Amino acid sequence: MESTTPVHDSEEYLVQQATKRDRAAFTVLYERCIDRVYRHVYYRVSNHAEAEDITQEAFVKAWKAIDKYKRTGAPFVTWIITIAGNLVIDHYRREQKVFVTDEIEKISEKDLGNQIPGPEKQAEMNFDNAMIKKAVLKLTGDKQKVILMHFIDGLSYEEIAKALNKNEGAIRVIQYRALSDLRGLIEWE
Amino acid sequence: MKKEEILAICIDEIQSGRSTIEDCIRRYPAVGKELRSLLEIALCLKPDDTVPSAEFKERAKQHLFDGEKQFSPAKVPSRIRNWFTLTPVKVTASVLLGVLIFAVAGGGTVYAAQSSTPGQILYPVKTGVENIQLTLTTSPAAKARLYLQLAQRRINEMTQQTKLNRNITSQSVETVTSLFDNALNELNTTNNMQAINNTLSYLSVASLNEELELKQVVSNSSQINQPLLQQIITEAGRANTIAQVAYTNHDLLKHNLSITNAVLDAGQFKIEGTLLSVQNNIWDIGGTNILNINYSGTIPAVGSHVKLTGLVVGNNTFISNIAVSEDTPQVTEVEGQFEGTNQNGTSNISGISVNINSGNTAPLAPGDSVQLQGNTQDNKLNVTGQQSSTVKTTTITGVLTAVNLVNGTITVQLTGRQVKVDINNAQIQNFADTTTLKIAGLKLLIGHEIKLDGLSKNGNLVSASLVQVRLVQ
Repeated sequence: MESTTPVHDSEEYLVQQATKRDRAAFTVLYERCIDRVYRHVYYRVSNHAEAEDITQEAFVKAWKAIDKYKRTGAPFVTWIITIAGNLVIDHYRREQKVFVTDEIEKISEKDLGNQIPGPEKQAEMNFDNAMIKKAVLKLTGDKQKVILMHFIDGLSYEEIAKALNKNEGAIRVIQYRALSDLRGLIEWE
Repeated sequence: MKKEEILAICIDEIQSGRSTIEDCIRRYPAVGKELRSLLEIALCLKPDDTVPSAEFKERAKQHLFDGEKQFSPAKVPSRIRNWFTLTPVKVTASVLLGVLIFAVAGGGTVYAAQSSTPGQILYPVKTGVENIQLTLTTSPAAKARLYLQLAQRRINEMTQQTKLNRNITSQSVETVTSLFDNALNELNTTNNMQAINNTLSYLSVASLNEELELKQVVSNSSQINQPLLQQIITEAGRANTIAQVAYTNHDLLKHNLSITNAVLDAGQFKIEGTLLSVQNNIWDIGGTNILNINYSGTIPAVGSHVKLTGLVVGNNTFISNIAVSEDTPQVTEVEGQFEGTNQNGTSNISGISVNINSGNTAPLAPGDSVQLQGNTQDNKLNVTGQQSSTVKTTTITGVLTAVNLVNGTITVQLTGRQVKVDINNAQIQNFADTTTLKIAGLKLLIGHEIKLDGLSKNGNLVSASLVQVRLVQ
């Protein structure tokens, strides 16, 4: 039997109610979105205490601004993730004095010397996830947004297009360019 | 078909399990090479395997509507409102009243106060807002982090004042001390291991940064400021010691340590040798007894060759790291601060009594940093190699993770963080025979421990004057 979501349980209905400052509806939305928002923030700050603070602040801010929410066709969670993303940027601005590098060391071929694997070895190469994450965080603007939305937040091209107010073709171009940039940052070739 | 379309199709098919990279390459051979490299990167892009804790989710839910409860947003300037939403809160009516008074006074005032320094009219507004922020922060780890950020802010103010030839006060120094100590106390009230480690990791690098930044200005400061800045430099160094040891041994935090405790200056030690016996909390390493050991990890087997790193505070020895070597060379090494000769004739090195065969060592004065290497005979250390220094320099010891020959920098992992250090002007030396090495040789030591001495700051980059390595025999 095909299962359907009752109207009063649909995201559209809950968002509509929440914009009328219905706390119960917003609480349900919170329960549905919290894991994905937290996962997004944690990916960017790699610290549980900070991820918790930022995630919570994002929901508090979202509730305060809920009446300004405009439906774009993208899932509601993308709106909260956008708020959380801005808080992550603020967080890094506050902490920029600390000289912790945590940055990609660009290693040239000359540096690597004999460690460069041949083409057949490269196919089996298991990338260091931490290094890739750092490279992702070096991407700027829409390139970072598209990579995070697609691969970390699990959104489809259609959903990303709606969230960023672009067409799907443009999103695929941005994705291609972003992955090319990542390859350049990692300099594995 | 365009490259971006091919890439998107392949990513979707591989993610859904309908194709492999090889399938895609076969299907689109014209773009095969590029496609492979992009797909391999794409497949590594995945979220961390993490979920928020149930406790956090519940706590956050309880505070979802806090912002609304506090006041009507429309009437309060946004810069002020932001302070309310910083952290989960149980806000008392009195605090809210205080904040509202600020709000009425004007958000612009608070904003302008952020760049004020001690003595300026707006400075009390700045510290007032900070106090509210502290009140609103309830999680111990977040509070500890906030204390550390405020300590950093106070130190920045001191640096600024010094550069402007203004006097700083002993009160400012006491404030910094309290902020560090409060942070350590907060960490003692939580059992969240991950949060403790994250905060200690931050403290370790932040305190090192602060120590080096203050050293840049201290020599050109006034006679009034110099001793006060020197005190903060010393205390930042102690905070760094605590962070490094507590990062791997949380027991240290239970001892209510204060960065005013001078015992921390001399207590860091390293000892390497054969573990001859373990009785109660006393370990005999190459004839030297280490007393009252606090260590909750697995104790290595008697007879193995071990290298202990730790801190002696009062009667307690906190082990921060044990490395066990499979080969068992007869060498014993001790590193720490020489504190004098005990009544029984043994040498006190960082609180550890070391029985040294007299006549084999160059004269040492209390306060000297010393590294001794030798072999043990009849429970006495026959010293065959000695290095000592009377100058207290800033050093770090960490794991070498990267070497950049082009820029002349190396990256060292320190308490879970990567610190990049410029070694262009550094002497690179093998500890055993002090022979000089070239930077390229460091590539062979990636993954090994490395000691950087004479650290200073140049712009945003940390530089070292001496790099000490141990070449594998």
